[in-house]
Amino acid sequence: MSLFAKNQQLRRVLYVLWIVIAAVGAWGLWQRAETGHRLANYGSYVPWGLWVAAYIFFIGLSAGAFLLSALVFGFGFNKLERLAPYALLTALATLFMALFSIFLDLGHPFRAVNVFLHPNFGSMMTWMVWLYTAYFILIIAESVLAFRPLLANQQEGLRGMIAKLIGSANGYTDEQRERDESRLKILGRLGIPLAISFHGGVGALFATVVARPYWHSALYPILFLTGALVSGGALMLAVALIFGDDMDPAGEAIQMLRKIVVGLLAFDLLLEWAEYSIPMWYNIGPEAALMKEVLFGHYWYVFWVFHFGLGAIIPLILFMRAPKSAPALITGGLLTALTYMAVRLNLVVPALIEPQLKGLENAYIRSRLVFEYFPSAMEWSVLAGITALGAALWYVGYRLVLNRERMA
Amino acid sequence: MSSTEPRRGRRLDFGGFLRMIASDRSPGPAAPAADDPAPEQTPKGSTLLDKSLDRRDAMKALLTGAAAFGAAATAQASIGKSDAEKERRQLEWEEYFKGNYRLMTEQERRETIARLERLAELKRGQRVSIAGTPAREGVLYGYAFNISRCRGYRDCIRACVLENNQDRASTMQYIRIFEIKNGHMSPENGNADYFHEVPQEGHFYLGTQCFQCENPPCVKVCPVGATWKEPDGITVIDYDWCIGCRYCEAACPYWARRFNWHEPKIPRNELNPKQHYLGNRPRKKGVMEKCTFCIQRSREGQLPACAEACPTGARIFGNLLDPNSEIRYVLENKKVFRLKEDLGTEPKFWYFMD
Repeated sequence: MSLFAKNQQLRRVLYVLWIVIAAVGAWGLWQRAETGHRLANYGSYVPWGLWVAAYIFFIGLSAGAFLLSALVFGFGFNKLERLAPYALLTALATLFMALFSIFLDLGHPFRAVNVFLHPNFGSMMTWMVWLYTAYFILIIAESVLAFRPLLANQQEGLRGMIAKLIGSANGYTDEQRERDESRLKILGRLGIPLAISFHGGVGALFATVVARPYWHSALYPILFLTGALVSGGALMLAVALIFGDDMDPAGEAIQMLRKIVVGLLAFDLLLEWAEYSIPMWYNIGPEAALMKEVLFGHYWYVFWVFHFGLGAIIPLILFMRAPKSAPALITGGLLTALTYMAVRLNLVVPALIEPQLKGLENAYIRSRLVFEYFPSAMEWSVLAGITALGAALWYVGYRLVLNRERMA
Repeated sequence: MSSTEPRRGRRLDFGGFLRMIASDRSPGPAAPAADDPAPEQTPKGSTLLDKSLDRRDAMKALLTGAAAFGAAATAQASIGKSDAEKERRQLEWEEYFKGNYRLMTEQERRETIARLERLAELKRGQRVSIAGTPAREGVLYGYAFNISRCRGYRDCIRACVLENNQDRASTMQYIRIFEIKNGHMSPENGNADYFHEVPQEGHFYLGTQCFQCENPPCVKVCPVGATWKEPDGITVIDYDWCIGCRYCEAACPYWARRFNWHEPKIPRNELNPKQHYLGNRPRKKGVMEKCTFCIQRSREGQLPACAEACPTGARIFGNLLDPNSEIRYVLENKKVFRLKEDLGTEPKFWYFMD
């Protein structure tokens, strides 16, 4: 039985939290539908804001979770086998959240189909969209194969419908299992370069922009990938311990994942050191000023409190000092995963607060012509709405496919 | 300098079949395009729920459409609408399925432009003429800005706003004039928000706008090919193809692109009716726009509005390929420089001093 099924208090807390987030989110999504971009705080100087950061945050979670599942399905990394279906479902839900975030950020969301009708393959954004689409198809195919045995012989209700749809309503033979496992192996192996390409591609989308020295770094795609693995891995640690059936915090799967997350977190900090220390060392150049702004400027706490403190140091202490305690691992995992949003914000926004032409900051000052950015209430609410929808999607998948036990 | 515009038809274009579908359909309006302004109120007596609706007609309409939504909308338009209303909806429906301007045939371009002109008349009651004048052979436009002549009057900005039908609600402007203290060169030490008598003692004035780069990063990053460099060097946008991702805005080193955060507003009596498809025709919300060296004027042999309005002659515009042009004279005889030359964007906008 999972911790979630056993612990009624935990369930209540999570349900109430979801209702609050969903209520706020409903207002935000309504406002977005009614007023478009008018209530957003991004503008002509800072054209990308919270939703773009949320997009790379969610897509990072998706890629990270997916890569864990791919280790199991593609390479038979059996120590993480129990986590794989959870990772796949998480990858699917967070992919939906990411795509919904960026959909809402577009000026003409429904014209996004033009990327398929008339693509410009010179643009990193085109590659990103096409690779996402391939990833989406692959993840659906993997889910079908991975969830087939879990829904074998299900005939009734929604579960029965899904079982029929994925072809396991009338039983699941050993022969089918063998065939599906070999297909999963191929898809898992294909998925690894695909996930690396698309998430590295997101980093490259920023890194290739020569107009923004802050983004224009060869390290960016690598930072994006490491970030995806750290945040996705940490999220899976918490998810597995809360929702996994009889998941032993001292067991092989959790301990292996804990070690992976600790190693990646340390590597991520090393990359960050390189990213910040090199342009800042002599304190000359456009990046140095921007990085100083990130570390010691108006929003210093985003880096130091949310990312470095809550997202890296405290989780590292928890993972190292209480390696077999479920509460410690859950707290550490959630802290690392959720505060990674701070890293994503710091990857996107600071580059845009630097005027392309120095002096623009002294030009006309209007609501959309300022080199400052803090997301508006509507932007936060929309993010809440996306989170609530994604969590609901995940939960429905969880209850239908992964966990059908009665709650205590 | 040779143009780097990709040849027409080189890109993949899967939009053709959609246009085919559109041309085969009945002129039922279905849903208006996502980018269209709020549809007008449906006149009373025209909905499916209305008692005056003929059941047979309604059933016929419902059955002919494959999708219930489309069919209902078709029925809605086919009954009880004024001819103008029906025509407007039909044109809007056709607009929804048009392709990227660059990939249209000459015939499609003519039809599209005629449709837009008619729509402007139906929607705003104003006659406009939208040109599709292509680039002339042997022409590559360039611009030079004489720093020692500009006195900061900003007549260029006003002329640009009026000429290019820019949104008045957000005071959108393509041009910035920086007032910079002598002893400095960068706009960093300047102020573009001055409200005092000009020229100010000890200051000079420097204007910025789209520099129509020969190697434009904004074009390279567009995921849908909604923006491209024309053979005469002007970077344009197909406003009806732009998805509003604002990647070009982030990628432009000169802040030359503007996004329409809301439906642009132009006073009725200030609309410039002389328009170009790739230039100053009114934009919609959610799309990018930019300076096109007044494509609607320059391709007709006129100066851009900013150059024409400048009372001091600080703005020089012309054909870089013409050895006798004024712009060539400036480039060959003056000490010129460009902003951020190190980026390799090759702006076709030079600054010089007398």
